Amino acid sequence: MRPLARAWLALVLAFLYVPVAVMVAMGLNASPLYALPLHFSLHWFAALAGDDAILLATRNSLLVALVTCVVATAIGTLAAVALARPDLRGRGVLQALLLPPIGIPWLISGTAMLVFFSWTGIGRGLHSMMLGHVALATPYVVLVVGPGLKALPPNLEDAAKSLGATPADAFRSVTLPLLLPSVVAAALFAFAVSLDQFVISYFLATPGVTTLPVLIYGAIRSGFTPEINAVSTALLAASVVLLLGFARLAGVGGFLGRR
Amino acid sequence: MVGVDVAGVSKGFGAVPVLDDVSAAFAPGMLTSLLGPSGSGKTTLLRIIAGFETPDRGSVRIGGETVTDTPVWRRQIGMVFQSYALFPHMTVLQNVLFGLHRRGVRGTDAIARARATLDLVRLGGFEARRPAQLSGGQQQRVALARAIVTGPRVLLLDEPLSALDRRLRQEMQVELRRIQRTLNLTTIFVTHDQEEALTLSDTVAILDHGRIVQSGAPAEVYERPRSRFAASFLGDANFLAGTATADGVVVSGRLLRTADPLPSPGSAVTLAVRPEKIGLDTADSAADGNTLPAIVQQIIYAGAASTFLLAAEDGTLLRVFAQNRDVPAAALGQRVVLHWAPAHSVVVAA
Amino acid sequence: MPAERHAAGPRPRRTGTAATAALLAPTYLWLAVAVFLPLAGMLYFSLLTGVPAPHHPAAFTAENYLAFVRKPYLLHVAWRSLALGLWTTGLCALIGWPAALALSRAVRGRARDAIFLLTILPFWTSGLVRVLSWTMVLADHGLLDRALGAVIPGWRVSDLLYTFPAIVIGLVHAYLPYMILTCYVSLAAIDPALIEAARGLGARAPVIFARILLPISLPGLLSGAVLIFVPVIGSFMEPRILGGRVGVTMGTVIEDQFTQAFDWPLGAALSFTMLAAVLLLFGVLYGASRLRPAA
Repeated sequence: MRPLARAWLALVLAFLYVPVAVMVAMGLNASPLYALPLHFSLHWFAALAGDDAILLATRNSLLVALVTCVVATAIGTLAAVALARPDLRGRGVLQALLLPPIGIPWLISGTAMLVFFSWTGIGRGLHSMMLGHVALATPYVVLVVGPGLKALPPNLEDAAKSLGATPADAFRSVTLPLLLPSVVAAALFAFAVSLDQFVISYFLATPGVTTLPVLIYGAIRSGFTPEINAVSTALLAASVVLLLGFARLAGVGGFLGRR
Repeated sequence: MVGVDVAGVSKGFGAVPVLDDVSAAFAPGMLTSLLGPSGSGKTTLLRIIAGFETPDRGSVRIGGETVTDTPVWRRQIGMVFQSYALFPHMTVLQNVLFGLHRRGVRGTDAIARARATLDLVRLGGFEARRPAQLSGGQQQRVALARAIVTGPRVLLLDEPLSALDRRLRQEMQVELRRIQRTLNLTTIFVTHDQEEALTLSDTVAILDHGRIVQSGAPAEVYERPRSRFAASFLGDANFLAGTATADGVVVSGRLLRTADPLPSPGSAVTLAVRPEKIGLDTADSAADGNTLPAIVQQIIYAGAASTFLLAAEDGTLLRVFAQNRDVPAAALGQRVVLHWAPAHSVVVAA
Repeated sequence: MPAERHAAGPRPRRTGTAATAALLAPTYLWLAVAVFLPLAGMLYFSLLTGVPAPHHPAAFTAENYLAFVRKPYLLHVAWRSLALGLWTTGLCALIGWPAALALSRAVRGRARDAIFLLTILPFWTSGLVRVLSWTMVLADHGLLDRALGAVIPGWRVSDLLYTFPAIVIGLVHAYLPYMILTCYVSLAAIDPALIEAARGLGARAPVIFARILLPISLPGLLSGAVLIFVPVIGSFMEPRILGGRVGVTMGTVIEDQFTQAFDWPLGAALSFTMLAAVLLLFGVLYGASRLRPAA
């Protein structure tokens, strides 16, 4: 049974990774027409540097992801701290309210944002993308930081207060240093969520203001070029690095599957 | 050296009352144990004195100053937690320095005080270790050093020894007492371990259902329990139900005398008698004091001493604790006569 | 030790309520502005005759919710979305459950951690990029055809791209990690001693599967199914890219209302109809799981 089981796993992993590997290979291939054998070349990556639209979209993506990362991590960590207080009332409701941003199909939340932001005059563009991405990433931050808080030894803040530390001082000098791995993991995750987010950005983009995924989507629909493979490869590499960092800090499968 | 006064303190969590109008004075320089079963409110009382909880009613004074509305960090207390709550990301020295820095003591002055305190708890040389590298007993000593280094007005300990094994616990009891006497520190100690409360304290306060049911010196509380609960929670006791007369208490037809004042004749009375106060004879010869015939039901031999389980004529079960100085003459099923001095019959509230 | 009373009367509760509220406020205000108010706004829009403008005030109507009656072709689209959801969820279960079992039983230690990470890693990377990669594999004379041709000269699967199966393949690729994750979590919780004991009692593989593995992993299988079915029903990017002209689904129809037709009220009504259907599904599944005796 065991060889059969392992063979099945290998097939599944191949299914998950081969197409992606193909795309990466194409991004690194000299020929534009998927010609084999491969001739390694960074030609398409070099071409990116000269493409203003791609550079602008990259800059936008990084900007939105950075703001999302900072804001979502900050406010999500504060909320996680409050949600961990033993005397909190209405915890069940507050926790349930974190689920719609994650659980409702992005198509619905994205179009809802489009309707609401246009209607209220908030409008579209980078600022409304940030508004949307933060809302999407914050629940994840709470879900990552919450268990981290729970895993801290009991009474540490009480001990600090008994020694003369104010609550803010106790949090800063005791809780925060111990919580740092979880907070950094959450920050990496928030960054990755924003960087890869397509649907919400798509509805909130305007003709001049796009992010990388929106640009890639447009390029695919209007006949794509190997440059898009190179951009996609770069995007993929960035998320993989971020997520490996997250997995290392939060433990494999950290908040979803740890036994 | 300052005392702590608690007056009329009540506290409930939601609809559940935890403390009910508790008043107590903790004398300066003394070690007082708060003894009670879980849920009796002892830890809540300690946390109110510390300032972690605010009482719904009543007030707390430390050294005559009312601190009911003073936050924890300004109360100048020292506290040791059941889980020790050492800061895992700091060394032993940094843990001890934490409170000194918060109170404005810095530099070499602070380090000298921290080292002196670590020496006092016999942990000199462990300054650079992390808590995770220490044994349970050593962590306990760090927690104590961290709590006393700042010169707190009062030291609060929340079941600090309960995580240690028996031998280490006894060792730490002696150590704790030594340090407390050296510093002459007003100390309040929460425990559910009656033996610990008796050996360690100047004063024992017994809590039950959010009230202090009795307090006093350990010997006083042990010898003269005022209630059935106090008698059975602190030590072991036999209870004899009877009716008051002018001379004593009639229990299954026998008059038992007591040194305590009695209620009006005819009213129901419960007497408590400690198992080790009772003598056991095979004949009615030793008839001075109180006597009560009983049948031996079980003998539990434990080397130095034996425990006899007996049934009185009215079916009341009794325990007698006897040193095995002589081979006990009684055997299973034998009719014996129990006897004890009238002073050892204590009238308790049912 | 009674002390004299030096205070009486009730005192106000001095808890950290204000501080807690201050900690919670940023997150929940943000969610209100960016998620809950937009959803409420869209609900309002779905009941309007058109997008309100200064000179064209919109009236209330339930007409948008009757779209399925007025436009019968939408039923066809809805059916295709449902079929897409069922095919994708079913294939994910058939592929993912055995993979999760293999991961929990046939691999140990660090290798298991590594493979587990490898299986869940893709679903946090850009779904768009992964769909893009399939266009290269499935295209006419694409990688799949070349690979097949290398095995048997002349063999190729012509015109797989822009078909219904292409969409299903892309979606299975996108959502398979969910199923492996949820099944793995419940399968890994099974004590190996339980299976040994069953084997010792003479149970054969099919019996162990039907009586132990499947019932215990059922919650994982169900939550995986919900996690896949819901976004697949609402997907529009995968059908557009991999389905071409056949890729008309509820997702793409809704997208069209917002990006092409600018019939926001209709798009909103369709979104809410879909959301209601999804919530109904959640409710039914939840109810069904509660009916089972404590598992």
